[in-house]
Amino acid sequence: MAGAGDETVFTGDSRTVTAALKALRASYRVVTERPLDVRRTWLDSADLRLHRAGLALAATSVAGSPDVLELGPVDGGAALAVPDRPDTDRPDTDGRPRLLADLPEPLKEPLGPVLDVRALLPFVELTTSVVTGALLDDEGKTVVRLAHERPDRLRLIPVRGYAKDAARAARTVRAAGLLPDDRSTYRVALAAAGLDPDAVTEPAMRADLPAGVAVARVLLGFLDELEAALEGTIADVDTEFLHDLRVAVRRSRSAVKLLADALPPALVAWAGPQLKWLGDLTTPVRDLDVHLLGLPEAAARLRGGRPEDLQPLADHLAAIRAKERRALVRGLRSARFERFRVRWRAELEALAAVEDEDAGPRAAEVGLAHLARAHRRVVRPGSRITPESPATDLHDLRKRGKELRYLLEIFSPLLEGDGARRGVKELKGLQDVLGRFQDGEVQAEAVVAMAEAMLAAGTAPAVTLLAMGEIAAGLHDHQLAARQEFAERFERFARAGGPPR
Amino acid sequence: MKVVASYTIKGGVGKTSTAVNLAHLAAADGLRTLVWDLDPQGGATYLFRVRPRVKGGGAALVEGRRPLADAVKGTDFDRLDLVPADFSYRTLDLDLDAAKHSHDRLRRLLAPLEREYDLVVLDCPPGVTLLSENVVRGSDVLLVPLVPALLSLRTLDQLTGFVAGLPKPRPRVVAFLSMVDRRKKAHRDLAASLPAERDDVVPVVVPSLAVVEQMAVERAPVTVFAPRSAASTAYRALWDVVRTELNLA
Repeated sequence: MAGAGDETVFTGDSRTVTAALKALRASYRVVTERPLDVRRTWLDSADLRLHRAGLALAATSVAGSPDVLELGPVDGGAALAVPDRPDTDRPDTDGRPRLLADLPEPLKEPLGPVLDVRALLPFVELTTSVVTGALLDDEGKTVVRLAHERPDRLRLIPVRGYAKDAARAARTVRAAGLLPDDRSTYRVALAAAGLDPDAVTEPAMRADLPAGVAVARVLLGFLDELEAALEGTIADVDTEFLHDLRVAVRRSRSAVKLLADALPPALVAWAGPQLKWLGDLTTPVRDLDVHLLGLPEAAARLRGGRPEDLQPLADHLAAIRAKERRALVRGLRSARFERFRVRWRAELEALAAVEDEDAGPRAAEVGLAHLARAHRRVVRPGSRITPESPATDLHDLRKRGKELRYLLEIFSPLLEGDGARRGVKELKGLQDVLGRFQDGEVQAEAVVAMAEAMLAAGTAPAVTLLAMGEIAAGLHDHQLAARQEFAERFERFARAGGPPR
Repeated sequence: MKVVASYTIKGGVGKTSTAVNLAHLAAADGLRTLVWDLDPQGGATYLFRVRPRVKGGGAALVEGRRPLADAVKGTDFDRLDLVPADFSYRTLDLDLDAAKHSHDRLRRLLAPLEREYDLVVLDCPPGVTLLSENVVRGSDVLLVPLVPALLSLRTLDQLTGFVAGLPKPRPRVVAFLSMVDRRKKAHRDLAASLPAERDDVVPVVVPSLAVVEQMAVERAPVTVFAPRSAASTAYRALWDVVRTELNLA
């Protein structure tokens, strides 16, 4: 069916479109259908994973026709169109697919690696009144299809084997004053909604700002991220809303702790415990999410047991998660949280608005000093770690590494060049090893605790306990492997050098 | 890509109507469908309002001077394309005879379109010729319209004998009654008895109705302009049979 050539879109004002249609009528018999409203809702994850991968997924509905899901490049081109079967059991999504499992089979393969565990949400919508039609030759045969997207876009769609007519029609509408418009419908919808997902935002951190102002701006950015993740967390749209919310809290907490000297002491004394409360509130559900998300892979790795042996564990985790989520939602809807949010924003906005040129040291000066100190606090204890060192030494080092990582993120606009990039890359590598080491231990302990709880409750058949034993053993192996990688990883990090002085 | 041919030795039995309506139903079902009008009379080409002309004629296609894909024309229907007839097809037998692999040339010509189409429908001229052999060897299903007359059975036997004499793989022969006039007792009797007596005749009866003749006026498949007519219902039943035979979901 290929070979019909690309369709061409022209634009102009509505009068020019009318003139172009009149000009086409001079050469062809033009037939048109009655106008139809075409509603397109583009779906994407909250962090726009599809857009960033260059993909646009539109749920298209036209009265009287079955809904279609169209996946194509953001800038137009060949799209994969698959009939959608709206799920009326999901009124909150307007019946549209939300998670990867809800998608029709042909879309799972191209979207799986991109979407992963994130949910699809309506991102931008466009309803267009479209008059479709055709240019007919003297046999009454359609030689070019057209779609007038009212008021001002005219789409010419070639028919295979009639390239000359398509070219002639294009020349005619250009001569009538229409101009080619190479924007995809997705781009048109974004422009109509005033959205620019590719816009580069000015970094909150600037070297010349007073340090207090710069830190307040950074913290306001974290608060924006926290608030953006709030509703999705409460509604449990996908697991990553909570993850994003926790990251925003953790970053805020670290910034308050590490950059306390740039903030008013009373604010630090108030915010620190509030942020800790918020972090603790979110931990149980996230820990359970990590276990649940890892279960399919753990099940696939079982050597003695069968994947279905782990179903009682999945049920157990889901039941605890439901209970813990109720507590989480209560906390996020509490007066305490609301008070924190309102006061935190007000205090930060007041700090960020300080215009006093003499308001303390500059961000660059404070930032570089903190970075140098944080770097030393990783290198010194790290170089003392030997294969015999206790696990707690590695856990402590991971905490120091996290602090350095957060500072690097906060002050990244101050750091340029390959050296800084290499340093960040090596730190990530080191943190990955330390993370696997600690997570292996913590998760293995959690699996044992779960096994004990399930045994006590009488919900764990022997095969499940044996399979959980395999998982715990696997986590232990994972931890050992990470420990063996540590020395080399640390060496690479230390060699990369510290931040500029 | 599956290939179904609307073919009989006898002419004027509804081959073109069958090819055109089945192709339209297949495309409407979501299959990327190509009709190749092999009959120099160009009935299917006329019904799809396409000019009966192929650049270089049938010889250029058979000799490979022009790829078949270049001759494809989009019809007025989504997912439905056509390779039009050309008056030069009247010498297609000679062109085939002169070409390499003359007995399965047609299948080879279609091979490059494998990824573009799910279904090819061949509308064939009547007769037993080298082109017929190509059609039979290139098809998965031979769809054989039978007019309700005893002579038709003789023709069907000739056809099945012809198919049986060819090397494997051979197509499945699916015959059905066409142009049945319900007012005639002989027609009614044959329509009732034949599918019961013969494995190669399916219980689908396409009635002889004015609406089928109307196709030439409307220049469209009957399933388009009279979708609720008895003829459309019969073609839909026939398409169900063919889809099952071809294992098409």
